[in-house]
Amino acid sequence: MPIDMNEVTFKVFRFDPEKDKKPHWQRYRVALRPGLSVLEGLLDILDHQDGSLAFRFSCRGAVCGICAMYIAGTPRLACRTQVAELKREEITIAPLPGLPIIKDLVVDMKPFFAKYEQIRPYFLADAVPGEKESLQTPQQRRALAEYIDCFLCGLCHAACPVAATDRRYLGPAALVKAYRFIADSRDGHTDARLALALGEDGLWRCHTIFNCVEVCPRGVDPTHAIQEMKRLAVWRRLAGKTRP
Amino acid sequence: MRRRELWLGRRLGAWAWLLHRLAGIVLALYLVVHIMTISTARFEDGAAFDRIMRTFNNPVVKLLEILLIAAVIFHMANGFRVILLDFVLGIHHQKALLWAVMGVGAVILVAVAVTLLPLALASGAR
Amino acid sequence: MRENGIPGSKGKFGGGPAWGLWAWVLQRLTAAVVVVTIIMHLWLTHWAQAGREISFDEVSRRLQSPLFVAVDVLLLGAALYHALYGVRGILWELGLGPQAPRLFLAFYGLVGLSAFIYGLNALLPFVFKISFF
Repeated sequence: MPIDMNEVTFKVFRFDPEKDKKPHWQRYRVALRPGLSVLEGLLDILDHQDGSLAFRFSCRGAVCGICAMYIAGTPRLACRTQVAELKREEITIAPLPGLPIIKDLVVDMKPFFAKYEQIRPYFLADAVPGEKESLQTPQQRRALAEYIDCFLCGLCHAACPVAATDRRYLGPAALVKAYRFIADSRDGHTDARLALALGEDGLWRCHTIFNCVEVCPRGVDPTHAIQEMKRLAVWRRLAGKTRP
Repeated sequence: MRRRELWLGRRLGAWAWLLHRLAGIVLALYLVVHIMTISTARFEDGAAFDRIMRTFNNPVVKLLEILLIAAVIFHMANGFRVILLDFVLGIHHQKALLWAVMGVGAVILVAVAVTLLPLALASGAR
Repeated sequence: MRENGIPGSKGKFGGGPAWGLWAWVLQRLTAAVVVVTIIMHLWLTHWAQAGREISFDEVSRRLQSPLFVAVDVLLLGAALYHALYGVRGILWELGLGPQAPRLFLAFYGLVGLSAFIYGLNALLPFVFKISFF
């Protein structure tokens, strides 16, 4: 790659189900400037070259997790990926794999969030709600900080080879959120929550591949959470606690 | 329409998983062939078995056997890593752990090959 | 008690069958059994023979000892379980093979059991000079 390069090519996945029978690749030249992110490059294309290009974004600062896509062969957030750091003349940009494509780079996240809902990602009302605040010590809060940080961008799910072939597998994000409630001192439904994460489409499908850890933009370690749950499930079953 | 993609990149964990599975499939197939070969012992008071063993006694088969042992050792070494990870041990050092078990595996493989090959060649030459 | 306070936690994602967890634990336990017995098996057939050709009489003599028979039978059973669990996982994740947990037990249990009996039958001629089929 020439060092004084001032332009790069974006090779973008295009598919409009209303017009196209098959997807195709379209190339755009994008002027390079210091600090240019892939998302800004896509916005340049949208503003100056092709108003028909569809992609999702919101915060532009890696806070919302909406611009997840497949960039240069790796699942990444477009806003967080610096074009210069990719060190390529041509950058391939495709939608997240494994999810239905709505248009171009926009995928339908419904199957992903359906898995998230399966682990019941909310506090469950206890016998006497609202009488008192549920207090936590700083240590108890720290124990789940990592898992609260997950903003459900779906990169880990896209990077997981098991989720790529097994569409029913809950996947790293949903399992991280299952552990988020197990790790929370205020929840107390450990065995029921383990029961939700166990089973053929849950914990036992994880083979400690660590792809999810590699791509997480929030520094979450889904594999660690899953392994903790496997261990917890086995020990509690041995103690006669967790029921199927 | 969905895009399908199996993301491996150069990520060590993914390659360890894929090779572990491939080695596992090879070993499962070998197990079947192995039991079938041994099953010949019931014919001709063992003479059929002896014939097959004699056919196997050649350098090519011995080399294949060393490849088989390589698959066994890889599967064992990475399996040891997987079991450590099941106890949530070394989970933040999984790559170093992989290199460590691969290193130990390589030493064992060389030791096995060095002791097995001369024996195989000696018996093959008879 | 707050256990199982989640509605539907015993439903579709109610953890599947109870043995799903034990099946996974057994996969790890059989791995350990295979490691020990496969080393003994290889040692006895290759190194302890000092490169001599493997023959029916030689193996038969070795298999007169109950310890060596036990090693081979343990290895056979553990390796079969370990292999079938692994292959079944691969098929499951590719969307192939029996997809209901109950069918899993029936199908793979049958395959494993018949393979185990076939393997035992292969050992018999060495131990007793007989075989059933």
